[in-house]
Order: sequence, then C-alpha cells, then structure tokens
Amino acid sequence: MSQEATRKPPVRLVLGLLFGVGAFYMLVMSMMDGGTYFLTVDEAVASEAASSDRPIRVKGNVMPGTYQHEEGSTIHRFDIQGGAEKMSVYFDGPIPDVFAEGREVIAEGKLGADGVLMATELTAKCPSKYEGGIPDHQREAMGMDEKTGAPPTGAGY
Amino acid sequence: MNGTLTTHSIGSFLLHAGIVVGAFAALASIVGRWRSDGRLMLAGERAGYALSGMMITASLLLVNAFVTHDYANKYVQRYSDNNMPWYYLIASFWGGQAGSLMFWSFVLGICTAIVIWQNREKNRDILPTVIAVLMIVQIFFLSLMVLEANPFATFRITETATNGRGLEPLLQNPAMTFHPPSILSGYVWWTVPFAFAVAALVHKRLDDGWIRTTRGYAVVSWAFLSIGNLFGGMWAYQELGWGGFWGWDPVENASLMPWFTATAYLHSVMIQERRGMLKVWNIALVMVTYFLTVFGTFLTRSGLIDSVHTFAQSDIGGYFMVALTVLAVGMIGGVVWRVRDGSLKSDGRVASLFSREGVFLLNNLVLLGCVGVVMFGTLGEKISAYFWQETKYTAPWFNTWMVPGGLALLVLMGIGPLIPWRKTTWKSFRANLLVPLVVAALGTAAIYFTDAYHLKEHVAATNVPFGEVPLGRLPLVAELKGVYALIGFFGVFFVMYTLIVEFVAGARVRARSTGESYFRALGRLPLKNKRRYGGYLTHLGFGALFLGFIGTGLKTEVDMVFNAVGESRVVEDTQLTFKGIERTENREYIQWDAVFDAHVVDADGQVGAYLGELRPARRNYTGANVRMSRVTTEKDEIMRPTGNVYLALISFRPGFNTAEIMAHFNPMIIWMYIGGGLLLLGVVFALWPEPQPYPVFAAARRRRRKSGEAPAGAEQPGLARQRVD
Repeated sequence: MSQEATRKPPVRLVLGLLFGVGAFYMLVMSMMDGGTYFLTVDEAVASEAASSDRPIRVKGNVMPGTYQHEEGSTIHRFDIQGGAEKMSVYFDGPIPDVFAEGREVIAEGKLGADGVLMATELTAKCPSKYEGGIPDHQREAMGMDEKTGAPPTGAGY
Repeated sequence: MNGTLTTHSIGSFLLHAGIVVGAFAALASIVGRWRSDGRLMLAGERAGYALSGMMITASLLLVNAFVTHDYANKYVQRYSDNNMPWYYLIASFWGGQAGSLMFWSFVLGICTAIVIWQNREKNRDILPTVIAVLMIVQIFFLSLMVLEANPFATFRITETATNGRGLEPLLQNPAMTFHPPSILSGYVWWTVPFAFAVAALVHKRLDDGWIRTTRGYAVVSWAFLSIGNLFGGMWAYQELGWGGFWGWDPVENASLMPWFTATAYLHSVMIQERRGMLKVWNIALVMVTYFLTVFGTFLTRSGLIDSVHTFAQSDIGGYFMVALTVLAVGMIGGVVWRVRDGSLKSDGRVASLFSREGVFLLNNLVLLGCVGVVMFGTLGEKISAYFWQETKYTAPWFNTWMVPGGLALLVLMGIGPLIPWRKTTWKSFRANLLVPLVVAALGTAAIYFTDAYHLKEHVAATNVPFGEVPLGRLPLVAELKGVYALIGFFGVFFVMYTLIVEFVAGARVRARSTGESYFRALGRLPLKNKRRYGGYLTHLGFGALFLGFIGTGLKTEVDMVFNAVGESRVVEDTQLTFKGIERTENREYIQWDAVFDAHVVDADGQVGAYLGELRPARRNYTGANVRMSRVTTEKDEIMRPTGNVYLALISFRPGFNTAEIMAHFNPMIIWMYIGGGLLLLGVVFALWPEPQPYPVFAAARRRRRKSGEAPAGAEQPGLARQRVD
C-alpha cells in the first residue's frame, strides 16, 4: 500500500479532500450567513443582526389599540411588544383567524430602514390547544405552537 | 367484555413471546453456525418463520380491534371512532406511536419470512447470521412496544367507552393513508441489505454475492421511500392549503436522507457488479442508509426538532440514542476490521472520469453532498443555538444548496446513458453529447421565447449578487426559478431526449437482428433487459417529476378579496367569478364553501371556455377527534396540462357574501403524477422476476415434486443443503 503511495502521488485523494473541505467550509458559512434568526422584540431592536438584510422571526404581543386594517384589503398594520421595546409590523396577506390584540404573534420578515418589520409570514399563537388556528403555512397548519403545544398526533412514523 | 380482554391478552402475549422466540432464533442460528450444527440452524430458521407468523397474527388482532370498535383497547380508543369508514379504521393502525411500532414489526416479519424462504437453497453459510441480525432488530422493536408503547394496552376500568376519540381530521386523507406505511416499509425493507452486509463482513464473504442477493430488497426499499415521500408531498399539497408539497420540514428530511444514500447505492453497486470496485464504498452506503433510517425514526419520535409531525411526547428517544450509538460503533468497527485485513480490496480503480463509472461516482458524491446539506440544515436549529444565534433554516436556505444539487443530478442522469463503461475518448464523448445538447438547447430556447410561465420576466429578475457577497457566502440565492428554471428545463429536455433515443435506437437494433417489426421490438425490448430499461423508465419519471419541481418555482400566488357576489378576478389565465358562500353540515363538521365559476381568459381579457366550479372551503370540526387544528382549509383546484388553479379560502363573512382567498397558479403539477407513475412502472419492470433465475434448482425441484418426495429442507437440514458453488 505504502509502496504504491510512494510511486504515485495521491492526486485524486488530495483533490477530493480539498474539494470536500471547501464544500464543508461553504456549508458552514452559508449556515452562519443564511437562515432566519429567532428573536424577541427587545433582541430584534437591540441586535445588529436585525438591521442587516436577513429575514428575522420576531415574537411579541400585539399591543392593544394599534391594529389597523381596512375592510376589503389584505394589508394589516400593528405594533408588537416584548419586554420594554416595541416594533411596528406591516403585513400584506391572510391574517390568522386567532389573531387578536393582546395575543402573542410571530412575525417573519425583514426589518426596513424605518424600523418597521415587513412581515411575509404571520403566525398567531392559539389561546388554548383545542382552538387551533388557521394554517397560513404548513407548520402552523398542524398547530405546532411550541408553547400552547397542541399535541400533534402521530402522522404515523 | 371477556372476549375482548382475551384478544388483548393474546396480542400482548404475542409481543412478549415474540421476544423469547426471536432471542431463541438468534441464538440457535449463531450457535448452530458456530458449531456447524445443521439441526440447530434449521431450528433458528423455523423460529424465524414462527416469529413472522406471530407478528402477522398480532397485527391482524390490532386491525380487528379497530374494525370492531373495541374501545377497551387504549390505542383503539385514542385513534378511532364510530364514524370512521373502514379504510381509515385500518389506517389508524399506524396512526400513532404504538401502532406504527407494531406495523414495523409486521413488515419486518414479512421480510424475515421472505428472506428465509428465498435463501433456502443458497447463501446457506451466511444465512444464520442474517437471521440473527433480523431477530435482534425485531427484538428491539418488540421491547419498545412491551416497555413503552403497547398497542394492546387496555383500560383498567370496568366501563368500556362507547366511542373513541377519533383520527385527526388532517390525517383523514387518502395520501396520508399511504404515506406512513410506505415510508415505514422503506425503512424496514432496508434491514435486509443491512443484515446481509453484516453477515458478509462477519464471514468474509465480500464478493458481490450478498449484493446480488439483496439488490431486490434495496430496490423495493428505495421504491417505498420514493413513493412514501411523494405521498407525503401530495398530502401537504392537498391538506395543508399552502399550495406547495415540500417544505423541508425536519421529518420530511428524515425520510429523504436515506433515500439519497439508497439512490447512491443503487448506482454505485453496479460498478461493483461490473468491475469489482468500490467494495468499501458500497458496504458503507448500505450501513449509512440503515443508520439514517434509524436516525429518521429517532428524529421523528424524540421531538428533538420541532416539526409538523413529531409524535406526542414520547420516552423512546433514549432507546434510539442507544441503538444509534451501537450501530455507529459497530458499523465503523466492522468495516475497518475488514479493510485492515484486506478482504475489501478493490479489483481495480476507476480509470477515467469519462466513463459510466465516473458518472456514477460523481452522482454518488452529489447525493452524499445532499445528505450532508439536509443533515446540517435539519439539525441547524440546534447547531446554531449552540455555536451562535438560534437560527431556523427554512426552504430558501435548503433551496440554495439543493437546487444546484438537483440540477447537477439531472444533468448527470442525462450523461449516464451516453457514456460507455471503462473509458471513452473526449472526442467520442463529444460526438455522443452533441445532438442531445443541441436538442435540449432548442427546447429550452423555445420555452423561453414563447414566454411560457412568464419565464422572460423570471429570468430577468434572477438575482445573482456576485459582486457584493461576503467571502464564503454562496454566490447564489437559488430557488428553482429564473435562470435555474431555465437550466431545469434544459436538463429535463436533455434527459428525456437521451432516454427516448435509448429506447428508439435499441428497438431499431432489435428489429434488425430479430426480424420483428419495429413496434413489436420496441415493446419487447424492455422485457429483454428489464433492469436496464426499468432504470431508464425510472429516470424518465424523474425527468417528469422535475417539471413539477420547476413548476413550484414558477408558481404565482395572489391573495384576493371578493366583496360581493358576481365580482371577478383573474389568476394567470383563469377568471374567477364569485357566486357566494354556502354552508353544509354533517355530524363531523360544519363546512362553508366559497363558490366560484372558473373560465379561461386570454391576455386581452376575452373570456373563453367554462372550466368548472371551484369550491374552496373551511371546515369546523365538531367531534372529539381534533387535536391539531379544529378549523381546516379545504382547497379546491382545477387540473389542466399547463398547470393547476388552486384556491384556498382564507376568510369569509357568510351574511355579507364576502370572501378572501389565496389563489395559486401551480404550473405543471400534472407531471408530478406522471413522474410518480413512471417511477413505479420502472421499479416494477426492474424487479419483475426472470422466468427461472436458478434453472438448476428449478429443475431439481420439479424432479423432486414429480417423484413425490418431501419438499426441500425436510430431508437434509442445515449445512448439508448448502449450495455447492
């Protein structure tokens, strides 16, 4: 084995390893660079990550009296609060049925320069586990809220 | 009451006894093999059959309990009710943890019986070890049932419930009836190649014998995994109302990972059969695939990662952790042991990347890369929380990696048939490649210039931010749209063309050499080389599936509000006219339909043919069976060759006849169905048994039968029957 190795440099092995290491490096980089941060409102306001161009997922409570919606349009505006901080949210799309002022919501989107979260997805937490929300996305469809924990039954395996 | 109690006690007894019988079978096989005691080995085989019978019986008992609404059984009470039709009652069998474990044992029992039967006259020297491995796996699942989740557990109260809690409405869907058993069967079926790999390692039988024996099982497992994943996607598409079929959910990923490694194996194994190379690689792929099936089960059950369908809190994650550790250590140890003693030495090496084996090797590398990406993305939530900021990896992140990976596989799939084994020159390779490339380019150009699916707009909008990215970031944000959709179309045309040429040219050669008519030759051709043409049919299926994938990238999505009856809105080439809200009710749910008339409409707004009525709906389930979501969205769609118009009702006000709907135009969905069908057809072709695989034995059997002797196995047990090679 070693004889062979001395006779012929393992070019393929070296190239293969180099390629593998390079691909792994790119993968780790893309993991650090991509994806969606999970943040609370205070974290989102404080963190630099939020002001960069990446999507964030912010969890907070809808502040009473801030919800604005015009009948017949799909645009919704409201403020969410978490800790001492608050944040305005703009959302164009189907609002979950269980959405209500005072409830906890998770808004996902990018933070605009004006500090308004341009949400592309909105999830409201169900007040109790048997009053499930309306799916506006797959996860939510299954009522998989971590906190309220509507226990998912087995999908079979 | 007494009668039902007996049924449950029989079921529980079978589980307990199964452990004993399994342990006996394993021990008898191992000791018998070790002491070359034929009778002991035969006892092991018989015990294996017995265990299979016991598992099948136990499963039938459970099905019977469901069908007869035997609510003394906790599991039956939890997952079914009086209103369910018989097919969902049977599907409830695997609706929860305990039952899916039972189903696992059931399939493994069937596998075990088939393996013992098929190898009654061959592989005699490694069969005992194979049986031992199968038994140990069986014991593991039986122990889980006995210790943590017994499907035959009964209520300890005298009053039996008169109704059950029912199956989750979201799961009452035909695709969901098939999805879990397909995936599970895929997982279980792979136990056989794994068991043979272990036996081959132990007994140093590392030629391609075990590979040929288990190829069928590997293909069946792969087919189950493929179909299972397709059904899973179909369920998501139909039931979840978000218009897509793959969301890179952790549990979906869990069943995709073994699919990738199994696919890699089915290709690389051909190199070993043909050229005697890649022995370590192949055995490692079998092991890794098995590891991933167990890992997938662990991921699904442990609740480690939040998912759409993790089980209710369960305690069996720990058992799987132990099993995974044992597997990992054992697998690495076993392979290293045989690598070091030189018995896995390759007969040669891949001479050139310009060869069939070179293409297979690249395909393997891409597939393994896909596994790595999916693995890291699935566990990313935990990894990122540990090392930096908790981050969720969703579809865009996965797509960035998987879209280029998928396109690479697609192109390799086209190149494969064009390139011969061993070696080819660049010149002949170029000559083979030229016409398919030109055809694919012409097809792509035609699609682009006719602006199908607004491709021009999509391509113009592709964002490839080469200049501004930080070091290390992938210079692409890939979704299967824009330029990537175009590459996808190119790849599909390329693959389709090369494969069709394979069929046409093969038929021409056959017609010439046999004197058959051309069409007869085309029909007979796949029958003469089933494995090869079965593979090609499967590839055609994948080409078709890819059109469906491209469709998801090119889809349009409009959120629209209708404020009065008679209002019209347009989605893509379809005009929707609102006709009002209708309410229906039955004992399970109250349903509101938003009713629309759909007409074709052209670019100038000219309304054409009537397409039909669409009734997206919302259901409010009133029963006790709801655990996930009381209110469900029932989509409605019209399927057309170009694409589907898919409506989901978001909200409505019955009194005022207003409705908000999410309208999707999902291009080329029909190709998903065509692709799935072709894929299955290819598998059936590849597996269709040759008339007489072992003519010698068949002849011997016929002689024996004619002379009225007892069947094989009765007269000379064990080693004496060993096949003389």
